[in-house]
Amino acid sequence: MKSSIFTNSKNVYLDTVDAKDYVQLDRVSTIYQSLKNSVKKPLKMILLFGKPGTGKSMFLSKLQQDLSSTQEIYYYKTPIVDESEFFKSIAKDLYNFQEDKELNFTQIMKIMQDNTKEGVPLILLDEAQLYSDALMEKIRLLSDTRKMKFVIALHKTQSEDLIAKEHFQTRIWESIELKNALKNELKIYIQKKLMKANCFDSANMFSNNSIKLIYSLTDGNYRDTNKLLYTVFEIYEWYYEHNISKINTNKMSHKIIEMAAIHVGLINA
Amino acid sequence: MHNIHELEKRWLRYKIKSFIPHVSVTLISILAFIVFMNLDINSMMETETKPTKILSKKIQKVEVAQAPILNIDVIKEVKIPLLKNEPIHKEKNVLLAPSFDFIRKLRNDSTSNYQSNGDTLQEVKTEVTPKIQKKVHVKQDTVVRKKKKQKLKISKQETQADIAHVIKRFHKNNNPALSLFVAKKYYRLGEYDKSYNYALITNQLNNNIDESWIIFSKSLVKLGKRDQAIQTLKRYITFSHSQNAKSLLDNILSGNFK
Repeated sequence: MKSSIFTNSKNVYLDTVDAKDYVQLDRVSTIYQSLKNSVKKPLKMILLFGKPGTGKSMFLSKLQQDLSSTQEIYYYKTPIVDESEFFKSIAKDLYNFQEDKELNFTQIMKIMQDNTKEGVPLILLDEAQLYSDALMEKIRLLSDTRKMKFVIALHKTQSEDLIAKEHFQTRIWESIELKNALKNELKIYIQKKLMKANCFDSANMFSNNSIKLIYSLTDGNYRDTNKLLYTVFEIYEWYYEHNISKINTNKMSHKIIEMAAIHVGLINA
Repeated sequence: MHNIHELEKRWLRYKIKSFIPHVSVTLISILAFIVFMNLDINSMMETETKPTKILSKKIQKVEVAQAPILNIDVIKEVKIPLLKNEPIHKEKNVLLAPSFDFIRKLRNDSTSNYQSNGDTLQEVKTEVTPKIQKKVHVKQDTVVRKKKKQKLKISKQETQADIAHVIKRFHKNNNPALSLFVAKKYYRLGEYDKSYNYALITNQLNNNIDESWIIFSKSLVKLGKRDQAIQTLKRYITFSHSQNAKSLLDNILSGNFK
């Protein structure tokens, strides 16, 4: 039934971070490979930055999935802003050290000295811009021990650039910037995602013009594209059920794309 | 699911809004084009009508120049139906001018009045169609010819009377100024033997009058006695140092004065 195809297509674009949904794009793959290479180098910290929705979380998720079989790796999707909680989480995950009381920086350093590991565990910190300056300074000191490596993902804003300057500039670190998709990349991204879910009919609905329109609305931002296309297929789903004569199931309607853009706030109408 | 009908309405509003700039730009462009076309047509109309004004002005100039003689009827005839029929560029090549034969005749009559009239008429030039030119010519000629006949008669009578009167007076008082006047008059009338005689008489009475020596020498040249004229002038220059005499001598020697 066609409706189920639209439903499936809609679900493809649910805004979730799952390494399984990672779409292989040439430029993105190159960046991902460079990130993987950086992790193998004796760097204390790696900075992954970019605007919201450029795929930083997906990168970390994918990295965790890919390296977990060969390397000790821990991924903290949400920031642990409380210092004690952060240290307790590190102690528990890395050294199986359970502590009900508060844990301070001196204690975690002592735990690290007492517990030796074969390899250097990799800690992935997402949304690092939410960590306080004091905690970031302590994370830097932890990385200086070379007992653990950090991959820090943060949004690229002016203030976050300042954080990067203050905390990481003097360290040996590598920074990788993620950007929005280009027009041709966006087309591949949209269609690959649908085809992965076997939604071939829906994938064929997109013409170059409809991709152009979507690109003009989302500027190639993956998150915005996901939101937009989720709503597009939701509207298609509704028309299919209630007024099928109004839609052409072979061609993506610009009207519906614009309606979806109005709904998600990409068009101010 | 969303309220699709509401979403459709919002989409419609958005489309209308997004089309407003395009529509307004298009409308403005069309309006600008129309205005431009109108202006263009108007300017073309103006350029077509302009020559009419210019022509009528020029014709009026003719009227002023010939004011006492030309009739207004002539101007009325000139004005204009022709403009519609005749191409504008042709009009520029056509001149309205009096007959040059007529002017020559006037000059030969050697009356100052005639010369001045003639000059005035000669200067009058304007642009009219050939048709107009013919008409105006006819009228001018007829008018001026009448005048010419009358004035010619009167002036000749005056000149002869003047000379006779002055000679009579000269015989009474032997004034060299009178004899010089007679010499000049005869020279002007081309009676060089008489002008020579009266200049000679003047020189005998007063040999310091520049004009008298000059008329004397000129008369000699005109009578074919060029060498004698040169000799006379050289002698006169040696004691008078007259610049006018020197100038005349140069002209005679260079052949400019024959």
